[in-house]
Amino acid sequence: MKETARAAIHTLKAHVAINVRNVERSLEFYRKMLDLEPVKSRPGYAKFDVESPPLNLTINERPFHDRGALFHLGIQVASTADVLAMRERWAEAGLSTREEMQIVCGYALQDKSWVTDPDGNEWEVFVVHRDNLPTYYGNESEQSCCPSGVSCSTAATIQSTACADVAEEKQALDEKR
Amino acid sequence: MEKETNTTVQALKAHLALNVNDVERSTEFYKKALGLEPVKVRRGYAKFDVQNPPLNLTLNEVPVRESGALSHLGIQLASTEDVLAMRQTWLDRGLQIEDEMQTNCCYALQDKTWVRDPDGNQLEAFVVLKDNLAETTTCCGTGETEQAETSATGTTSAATESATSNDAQAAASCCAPIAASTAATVDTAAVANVCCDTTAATPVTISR
Repeated sequence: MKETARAAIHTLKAHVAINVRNVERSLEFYRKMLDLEPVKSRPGYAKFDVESPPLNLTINERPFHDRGALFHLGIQVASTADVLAMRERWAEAGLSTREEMQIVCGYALQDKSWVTDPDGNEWEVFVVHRDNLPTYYGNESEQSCCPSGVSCSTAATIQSTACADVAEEKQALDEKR
Repeated sequence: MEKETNTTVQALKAHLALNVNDVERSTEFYKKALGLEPVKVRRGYAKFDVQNPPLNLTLNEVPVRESGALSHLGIQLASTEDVLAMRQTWLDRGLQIEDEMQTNCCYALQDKTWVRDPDGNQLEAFVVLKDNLAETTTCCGTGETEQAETSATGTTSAATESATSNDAQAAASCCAPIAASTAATVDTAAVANVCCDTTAATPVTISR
């Protein structure tokens, strides 16, 4: 927000509302993932009022085709130790985690771990070590930057060409060097 | 998170990565909506590091036809005055707003105003005035009095019938502006009457 807006407008939390196919199933997942009970639960609807990080997250039972505009979600944490602590907690809660350590993704060097919700939406817990790098991907992790449901290969064949685009971009950058 | 979590994991920000059809067009929108410059811009990619409220928002250029799993986005504010201030700020920046004041939505009484990003994703600035309303609260009203009056016209009763016939769907509909493509699989009568459906909403005159 602009300084003027910041002074004038008292914001509390970002709000993300996602569509889910089965709210009960998603409730179980988000209870475990957030280690939190919903503050409000109704037929086809639940709300999690997350304090750390501040987030008003609602799940809404509603038919939908695919992830559409929702690429992925995440929790940015302060250190690799925090990533590992969260990963440990997720694993203890019975969630299946997928690690990506020391990868360059989104033009930043990161450590992260992923979980997937019942509808295939992916959440990452991540720490950014170095940001504003010239390339989207690191050399060792060509495809790992995408959430697993949209791997670069499937993304290229379905509808999402961003991964292919960045791969091309990376190649072009490499060629320039 | 529970207290225990807070002591073991230092969370900084929620992160939301959006697929957008045209990152430049969306960047322009989010600059206005957030009043903020992106901290990182690359081909097909932009990142906004929002401090207030804390959010790591990235835009990723990927062909996208519909909102899909994303219902909508929002900025929760502290008071109606904040909603009106945000509304004015958005207007001043040339964004088209749609108001829903004193609306019963998501089992909460709220004042809110909406803007729509270039891909049709909706972003609300809202304050929750009264939360955890009963399940029997119809979700599509614009205030209890007005609801009662409207039911005489049959408009609200049609919505209520739809809600009764499919509680889960109607309840969910209440909390989400209608994404064009999902409407195909949703009962059209319910869709036409859902609250927070800014595609069908009548602009509300703000008298404050």
